[in-house]
Amino acid sequence: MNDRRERRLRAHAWSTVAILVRFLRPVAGRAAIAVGLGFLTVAASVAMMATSGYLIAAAALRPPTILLLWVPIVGVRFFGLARAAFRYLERLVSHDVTFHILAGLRVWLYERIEPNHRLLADRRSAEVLDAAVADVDRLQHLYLRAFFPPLVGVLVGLGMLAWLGRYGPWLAVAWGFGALTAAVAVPWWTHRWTRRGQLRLDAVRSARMSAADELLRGLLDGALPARTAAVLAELERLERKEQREQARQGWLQGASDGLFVFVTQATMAAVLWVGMQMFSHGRLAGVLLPAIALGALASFEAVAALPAAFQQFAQVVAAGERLLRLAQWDAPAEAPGASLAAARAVALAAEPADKTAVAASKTAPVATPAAVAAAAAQVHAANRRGGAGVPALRVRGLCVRYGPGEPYVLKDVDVDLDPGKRLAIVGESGAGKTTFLHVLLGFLPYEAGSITLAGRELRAWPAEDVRAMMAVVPQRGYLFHTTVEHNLRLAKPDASREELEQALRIAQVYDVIARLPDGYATVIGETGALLSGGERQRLALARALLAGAPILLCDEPTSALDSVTEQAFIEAFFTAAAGKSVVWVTHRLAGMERMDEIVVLRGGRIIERGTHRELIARGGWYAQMWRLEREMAADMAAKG
Amino acid sequence: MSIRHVDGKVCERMNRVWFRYARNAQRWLWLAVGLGWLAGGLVIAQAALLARLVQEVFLAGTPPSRLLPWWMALIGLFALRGLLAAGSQGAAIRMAAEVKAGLRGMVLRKLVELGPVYLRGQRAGEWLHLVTDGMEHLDTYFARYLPQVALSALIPASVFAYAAAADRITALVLALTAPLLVLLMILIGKSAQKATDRQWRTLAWLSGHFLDVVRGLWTLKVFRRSRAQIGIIRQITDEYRKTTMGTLRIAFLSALVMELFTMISTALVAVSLGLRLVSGKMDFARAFALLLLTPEFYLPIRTVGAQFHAGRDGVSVLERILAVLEAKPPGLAAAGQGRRLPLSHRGYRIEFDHVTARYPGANRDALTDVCLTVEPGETVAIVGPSGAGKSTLLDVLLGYLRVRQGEVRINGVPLQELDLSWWREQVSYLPQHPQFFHGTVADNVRLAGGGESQAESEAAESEPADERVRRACAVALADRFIQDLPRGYDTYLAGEEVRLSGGQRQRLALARAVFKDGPVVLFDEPVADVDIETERALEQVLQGWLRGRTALVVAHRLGLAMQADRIVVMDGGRVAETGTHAELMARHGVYHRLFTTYLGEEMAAP
Repeated sequence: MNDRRERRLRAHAWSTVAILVRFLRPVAGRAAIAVGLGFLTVAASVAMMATSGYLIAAAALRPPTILLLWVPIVGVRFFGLARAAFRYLERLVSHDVTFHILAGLRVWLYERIEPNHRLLADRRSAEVLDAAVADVDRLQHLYLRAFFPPLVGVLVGLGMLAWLGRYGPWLAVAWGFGALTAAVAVPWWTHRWTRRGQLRLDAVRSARMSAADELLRGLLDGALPARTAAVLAELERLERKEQREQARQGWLQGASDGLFVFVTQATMAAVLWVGMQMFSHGRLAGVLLPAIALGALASFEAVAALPAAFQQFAQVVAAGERLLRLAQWDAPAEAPGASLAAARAVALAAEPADKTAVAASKTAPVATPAAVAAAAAQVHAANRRGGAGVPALRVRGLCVRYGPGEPYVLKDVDVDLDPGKRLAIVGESGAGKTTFLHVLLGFLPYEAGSITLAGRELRAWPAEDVRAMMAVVPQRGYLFHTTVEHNLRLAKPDASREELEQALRIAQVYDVIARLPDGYATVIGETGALLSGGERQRLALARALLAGAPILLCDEPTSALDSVTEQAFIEAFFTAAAGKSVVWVTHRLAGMERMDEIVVLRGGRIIERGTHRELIARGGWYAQMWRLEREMAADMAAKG
Repeated sequence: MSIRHVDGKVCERMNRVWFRYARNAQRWLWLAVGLGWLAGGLVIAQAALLARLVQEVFLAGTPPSRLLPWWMALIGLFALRGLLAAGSQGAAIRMAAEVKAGLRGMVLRKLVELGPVYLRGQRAGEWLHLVTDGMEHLDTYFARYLPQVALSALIPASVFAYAAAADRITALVLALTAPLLVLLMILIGKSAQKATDRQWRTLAWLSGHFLDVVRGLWTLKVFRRSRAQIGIIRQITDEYRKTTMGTLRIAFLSALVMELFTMISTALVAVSLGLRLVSGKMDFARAFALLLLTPEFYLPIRTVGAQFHAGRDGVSVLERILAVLEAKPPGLAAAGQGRRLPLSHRGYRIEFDHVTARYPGANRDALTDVCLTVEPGETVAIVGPSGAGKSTLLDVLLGYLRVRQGEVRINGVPLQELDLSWWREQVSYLPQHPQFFHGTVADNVRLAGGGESQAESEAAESEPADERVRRACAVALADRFIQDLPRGYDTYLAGEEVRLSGGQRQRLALARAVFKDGPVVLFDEPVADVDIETERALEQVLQGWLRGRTALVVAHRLGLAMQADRIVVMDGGRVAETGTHAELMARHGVYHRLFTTYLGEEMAAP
């Protein structure tokens, strides 16, 4: 049972290796050169040592003239210089290869994540993505160290066998046996000896990890001083345990290293012993004896790199597996401007709305991508003309859930967003408000129902065009570690200075930016660390306004603002949004009387809808909430 | 010792750490070095014996089988050398384990001393990395580099001693080249170091850029810039590759020179030996032994250089550790000594007397000349725009942040004279970002300890602990959602089993503080992150609960504030106004402005 599982795991590891090797393909030529140079480096060193041995042996025979020794003398010097040169070139080429692989890996990972909306919309995505980037970093340092030494080792091995085999097969056998023992058997034994201890060590370390996590979070929290002492004591206990385990592992590791030293020396002695036997039977020239001994010793430079390479190999495979798993995260792929998928989706619109996408796409006639492009162009042109070109958005019977069998996050939602309309979506957290925005942006697929944008089904639009029509003001806008200006221009690369300034003013953040040391050119730090929470939010807002999209989607944009700023912001926002359609998602009722329609979501369904007055008159959930806020206000007013 | 210069400062500080914190690890270092040296000595014996054997067979024509006992001796030497190497390596790892354990203990205890204000300067994940995986990087430095530094002097010295006895000319070559090699390493080391550092920075920068792009992918997508990034990632990596390769080409030249130098030195020894053999001034065995030993002479010196680079991660981790160990705590020390005040049912009198405080690293004061007194049994609300210094008041009062000027007194006793750990135990504190731990919901509520308020201790004794947890949760309006969790109060938190919303976390932390029921209550935004319905209900419950308690409540939302006995309005680190709701409204100051905008629309609506 266990065996079979282990075999399956091993097969899995090998398929991972096969995929990782693919990243070498674009640089196969350079990689081959790097390996070749690695081989030549060791070969030159073997040649130099062997020639030196030959030189002193030949000299000891007292040749009649020193001229006979000129060839080996020159050889020793030549190989010495060659080794240094090969090593230099090898380092250069392999660093170059590392950069190429790195670019390949990053682009590959990015291309896998980029269309994966499920991943991006997920709350945990930050952790997952951070881990993935860390894995790429790990690979960048280990790739060559794991892949190249075994190849160099094989080449050196073949070269040594060929060289020693020329004098006699037993020389080659003696060397080969020793090299295999050192390269394969010793690491394998080490692995067997240390495996159990390593598992115990890992267990202790993971226990310590959670204890340290608890300690640190307890410290950050600051409310639990008594707990701290207990956790600290637990950590110290784990520390002692880890120290014991690590020391035991240390002795085993030492034993393995010692064994390696022994095998290296013994191999040299064995080769020499065979050589002497051959010499005494007259089958080997005596001057070669020191040469083969020194050559055998020098060749172990290639073998010595292997145990470390095997360890790094395991790490590379582990990192690679994690990346592959992430790349295969079940993603309903969108079609970012991909004409075929878009065309298929156009056809969907013609089908009854309750049919699923898969069924429909099989039977529906295919519309031309050109039609889609034409429609997009129309809308773009309309946008430029002004408010009149704002596309209408209609949602009918919309149902969304994260997978078959899971509960609906949105069920039977009908909403109209006519040009210039202001729609509020109100509800408690978890009511499905953010999900609704994600569906509109094409980040989440809808299972049933229809969404039409400018009269065309949303699925039929290339995702990029949909997003060109909608700008989002999220709850926490992400700012990049670059200048203010670059962060803004993300929304509109060709924006003029006036446009930038106007957007900043509307978002109430112009003064803040003007006060920064370098103004627009200030680098605002990782995730905008230089700015306060409210300032970050307002800058993200300015960016969204700059995009100039006709539809504005706001996801609790004022949740990070204090009440004074919030009020000023709302005022300025609605002035700027004149003529645009607005979807305003919130759980608070401030500013609702500005809205043309308020939709109350609860558990993914619309439970009430109407204008502020209508909803108050109705006396439902909304009115109740309103009364609560009013009561509070009245209480306060009474006190005041 | 040759590579010291490269990071002289770090090495120096490192040695200080070494001697201060890791004294009992030293004997393992000496053992590692001693055994390593012995193994190095065996290399000489081995080379001499091997050379003798080859001479016997090759020149004297002795049949190899007659020399079998000598071969056995040689194999024995190999085995012994292996054993010594094993011992040396094991001792080195043992030493590294000791050092790591010692340092980790020091760092953890220091972090406890430094407290939340210091820790907030960095993400929690980075601290966790530093005290767990980050420390493992020290292995290379302590287990490999440090013993190698000693061996790089000892082994070449031994080989040189042998050479001096066997052949003066070889000894002369070695004696001349070794200092030259060291000199070269020193000369070249600096530029090589710069280039290597630059490459590390490049790689780190590239990785940081990639991380930024990946984290902001959602935003890039919304602005339709995500596809364009593919080209940018490739292009940036490529540009950096080109410039970095340019510097590397020069940086590696230094390594080339060094390699050339040792290779030529070896060749020099070989050729000079050969020439003297021809002239009969040298016998073969000695020459062969010297030839075998020459690479062993240079190897340790070069290894130490190579391993220094491999240990760079360790160096940077060590710098971080040193920064922590040498940091000055931003708060007061909780050493467990100092005064304890008599227990009080109604709490204590808290005085801020002209307090000025500043966060470490900040360039302006967070509190300026703050005067404020809270009488026992009084509930004071602190309001004001974000960044006004509201939470700072609580940091100072808990001793997490030291005052620069002025004094904080509890019942007339200066805070720094109190036993701080006792004081913190008296406080029911609700932090702004509460944290939860591996354990059940009930465990997490109970974690705060306490729960035996002096006022209610008799009632508490008669009541089972679970009932008290439940009652605390009911006060914090957490009881309902906890009951709805898959396993109620036994639901395991901080695992993957359940995720709490922001509002739920807030209420659970509130329940924890309520459960603790200390004589002093400090709440930082108790109704943040909850919807209006819950906010309203919480305000009503808390109003009752807080009555008669000594409490400081930081309130972003004004509903809770106006029910307090007194309101303190903070603005720009100063107390702008103080008084009851009615008094403050009459003043038409900052509070009036905050309040009218807060009510604003509600009042205006029909």
